[in-house]
Amino acid sequence: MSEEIRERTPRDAAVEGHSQPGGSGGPPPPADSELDATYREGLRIEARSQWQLFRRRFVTHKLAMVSLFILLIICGAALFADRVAPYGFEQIDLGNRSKAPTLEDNHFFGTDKIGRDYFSRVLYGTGTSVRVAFFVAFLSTAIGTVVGALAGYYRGWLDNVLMRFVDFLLAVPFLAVLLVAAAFLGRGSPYRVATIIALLLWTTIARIVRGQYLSLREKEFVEAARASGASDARIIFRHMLPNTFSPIIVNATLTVALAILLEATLSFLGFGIQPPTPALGKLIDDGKGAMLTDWWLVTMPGLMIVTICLCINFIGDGLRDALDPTQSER
Amino acid sequence: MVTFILRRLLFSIPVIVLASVVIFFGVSSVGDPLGELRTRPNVSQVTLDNIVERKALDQPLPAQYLLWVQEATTNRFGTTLLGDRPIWPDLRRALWFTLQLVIAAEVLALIIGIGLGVLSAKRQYSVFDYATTTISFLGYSIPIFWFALILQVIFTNIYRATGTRIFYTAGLSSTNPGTGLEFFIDRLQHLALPIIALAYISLALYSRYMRSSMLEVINADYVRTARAKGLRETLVTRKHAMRNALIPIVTLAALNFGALIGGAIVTEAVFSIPGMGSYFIRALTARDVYPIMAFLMITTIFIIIANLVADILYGYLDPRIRNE
Repeated sequence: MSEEIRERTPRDAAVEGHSQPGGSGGPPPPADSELDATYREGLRIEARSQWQLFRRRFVTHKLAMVSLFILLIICGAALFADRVAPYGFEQIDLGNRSKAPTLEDNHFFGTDKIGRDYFSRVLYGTGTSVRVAFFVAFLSTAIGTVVGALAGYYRGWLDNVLMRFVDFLLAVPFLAVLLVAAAFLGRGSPYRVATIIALLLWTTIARIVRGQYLSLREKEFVEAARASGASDARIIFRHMLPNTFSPIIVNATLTVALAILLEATLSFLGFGIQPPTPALGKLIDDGKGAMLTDWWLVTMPGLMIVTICLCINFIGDGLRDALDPTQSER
Repeated sequence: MVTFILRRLLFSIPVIVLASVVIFFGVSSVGDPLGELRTRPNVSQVTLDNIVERKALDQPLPAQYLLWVQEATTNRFGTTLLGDRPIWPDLRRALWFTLQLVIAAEVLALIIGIGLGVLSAKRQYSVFDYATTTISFLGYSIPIFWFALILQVIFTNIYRATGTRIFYTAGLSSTNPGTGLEFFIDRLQHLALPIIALAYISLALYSRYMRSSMLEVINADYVRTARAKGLRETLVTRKHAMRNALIPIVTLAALNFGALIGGAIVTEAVFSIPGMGSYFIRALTARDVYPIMAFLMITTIFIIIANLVADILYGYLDPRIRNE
């Protein structure tokens, strides 16, 4: 903000100088040619697009930038675990059993009872978790946005059904419902589990989008679009949707963190992702038997979850501030 | 006020009915009660036929629903699918343990969360404020089961190193818990870690909301007026600002009750507490739909009650709502 003001000052000064050449008390007016140059220089300020404004604000958010950097490294390493990890996920090395974290032989996170390298196992598990979480965020945001938009725009029965469903989900313990669905339908497959989580999570974003649409549909620009003959679909998706991007993006970001926590909890309790697919929650479950002697078995995968979620939450915070500076928390 | 409470009570009846419909049809369509049993080699066709007859599984779903409602209301949720064991006695014992855990955690989280929120709002942008913010961000990011496991590791190692028991790390009671005060202290030593694990997550939420709610109120005109007429700062904070800032927290606490029950499922699993959560997980592992539905129904009723209490409190705190 302050940067913008500073950059605009030369033009403002020039304009002022131009309009009141002999103003009393002001600085002496510069020579004509110099003034002209300054004036034109001032006018050449480029208009910034919304995207540029957003980027400038986000980049100044140090915590969010650092978080984004760390998250990108973790995601990159996890998604390409088969190339980055020093060992395979199930690679057994009986000569190196229950080793504490060490730099020797790249066992950064130690090894378990049968000598499997925990750094590699955590990387593979993170890969699954991250894939599941992004899938959940994408699917639930897509469903929630469409349903919320239609319910908010058309009101009527869809709105009623949506809100009753939301009421119901608020009245039952969410995790219990998720556990029931995952236990009966999940079959330990990451994409089934992800779909189940998404199908229960979309209501949050639907509620937010619905609220936005309810107020947006009364705005003049929607009326103008309708008056000029735009179809409903065009109004909903081309005119109104861009105006709800901020909360949608922030919520999608936070959903990634929530999905990682939920998936880890499901897998830990034994109703989420099952072997042979690696998962962080399952790693913690496997490690808890020996956690009093081999502390790293539980600590390391957990720290990975905490780091990822912390980064995502900080990024979400930065996004919220950058996308909507008027709503930033004091 | 009485009519307000009565109206809210009446209003929650259709919600309970609706919840029972959704729970029954949801669970029935998701989980075939016999699906798991059919795959077990030691379960004979005769046993299956008996179950079908006992639970009227050959009837259409709506008829089954009515039967289930009848069982639930007149026979306390009836019996389990396998073994024909009555559900309610087991569930009631478990319910009591879970309530101890959840209520203690909720109270602890509210007290500390509100305290932290108020203090960090009063000292906005201080070191204390940033520390509180960090604590609450961590609370959003830590999986509760992992936090519970870490607590177990820490306190078991403290016990091993020093030989003195501060807190127990599993179960509900010692083999010989004693009576009266001794029993209470023993229970507290067992429940302390689960309560801390469960409270931490909610504490993060409450302190965050209390902070922003307090910041909103602190700048309000009536707070400036109170200060202008010379009231002591502590009095302004406590009587004028905090009371009004608390109103949204009441709703938040009620909404969070469901999350607490979810957290209790996980916490009980880690600390092997024989509560409702453990009962639910056992039923889920056995794929036995009847105790599952009973669990969902009872927790739903509890959440509805929590919302009701919140509404009544809300009406008490904010007369504008009551008179609407």
